[in-house]
Amino acid sequence: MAVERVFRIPDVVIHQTLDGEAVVINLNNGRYYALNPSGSLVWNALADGHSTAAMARAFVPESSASIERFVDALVEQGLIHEISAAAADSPATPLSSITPFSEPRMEIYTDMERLLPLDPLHEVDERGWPNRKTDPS
Amino acid sequence: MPARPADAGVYFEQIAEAFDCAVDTQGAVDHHYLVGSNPARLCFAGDALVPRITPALEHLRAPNAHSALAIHLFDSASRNIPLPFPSSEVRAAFEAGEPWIYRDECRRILFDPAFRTLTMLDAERRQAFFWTDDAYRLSYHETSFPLRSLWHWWLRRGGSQLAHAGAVANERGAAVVAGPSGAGKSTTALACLFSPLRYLGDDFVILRSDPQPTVRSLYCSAKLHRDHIHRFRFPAEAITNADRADEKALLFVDRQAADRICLESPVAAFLFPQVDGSGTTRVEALAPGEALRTLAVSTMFMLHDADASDFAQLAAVLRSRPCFRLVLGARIDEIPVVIAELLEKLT
Repeated sequence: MAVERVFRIPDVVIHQTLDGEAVVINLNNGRYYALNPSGSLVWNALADGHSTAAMARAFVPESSASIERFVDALVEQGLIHEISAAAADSPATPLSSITPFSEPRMEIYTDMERLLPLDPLHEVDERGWPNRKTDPS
Repeated sequence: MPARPADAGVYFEQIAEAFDCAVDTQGAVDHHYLVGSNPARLCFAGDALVPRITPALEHLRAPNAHSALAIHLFDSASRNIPLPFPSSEVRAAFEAGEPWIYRDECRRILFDPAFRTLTMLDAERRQAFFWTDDAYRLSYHETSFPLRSLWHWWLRRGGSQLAHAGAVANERGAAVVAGPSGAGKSTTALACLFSPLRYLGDDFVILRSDPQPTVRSLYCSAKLHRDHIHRFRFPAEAITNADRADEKALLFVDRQAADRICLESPVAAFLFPQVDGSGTTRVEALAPGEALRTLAVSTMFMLHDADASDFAQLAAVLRSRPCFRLVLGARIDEIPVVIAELLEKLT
């Protein structure tokens, strides 16, 4: 039986989906990612709080290994963090079956890393101004 | 050395005092503009910064009126006005070339060591400051897109979005021309200048998705590789930095073709130029995902402090209109023809 793994997207990782293709940007390191339609499907399901096991059940049973591999790659890129199921919010929208479900993939782009000039988080925190806020992610 | 300010509000007061000191010795000069339909007053301490900041905004000049935002601009070199820093750590970071940004609900502070500038906005008080250490050494980039971070912070509060893109338009609508630096935005926009199409910008424009996708002009500046100037009908004296061979040629469109500037237009399409250099200029289909990647990513990383809401705003505008690749062929005079044909087909 598949493990119910759930994840959280850190604040520095932002994403939008246009015409079924998700674009994910890591504001911390300037890397950005283009996800293919299956990858975008998994990404948006993760963003909504669905577990990998729930995705496999909803998409196609054979997709489980592909989803786990893809999710591990997302973790390796720092785009998601695994959290306990208890800490996860309930998904806002149900998953629906998708066929065909191809191998989820992402393309990694590094050409903007040179343009990244800032540590983006210098916010007020409890230690007072202008201390750097600790990034909880 | 002044005491460390207790909070951002106190730091704003310190900067206001420094600005007042500059005004005491140099006098104040006001210039009024309409930026994204919002009246803004630029109040300069002395006149050293005026020729560095105002030319790119000249086409937005407005009559003196109540301003929605007052921007106070000064430098240190003109009258030896020292700049207070929030802390010794921030000063050290600035001197070490590390940018520093602060944000809270209504305030933004950016130390940008690359341009040697400080930009501050207090949106609640509708007050902003811009400082540089020496007006005469201000980067020509800042002259070409002055106060970029400030406009970004301020305009998005009203639902508008700065985008790293140019735009040209006719009576049917506008083609927003997006892409990273070097993709051909300036070539495309300037090629249309001496055609029936009109010019809204070549590097940064203001986009709005609601109530309909609209593009507004922000800057009338244009930067061109010096090798490409001969391709356009600009006289030699149009280049304002002819003595600086290491910089791109900087010119101001309102001085060359003021009647060809358009201030606002509904968006009909997004174009993503790609220099081919041979064959004919043409438009090709472009996947929306690639369009999002190109426009949003280059915008996000060209603007300090861009975040998820900027990304969402850019995606919202892109969703609403078709996107095309504009393959730039050998002849630049084909560019406005191809764009006009596309606008006619779409509208």
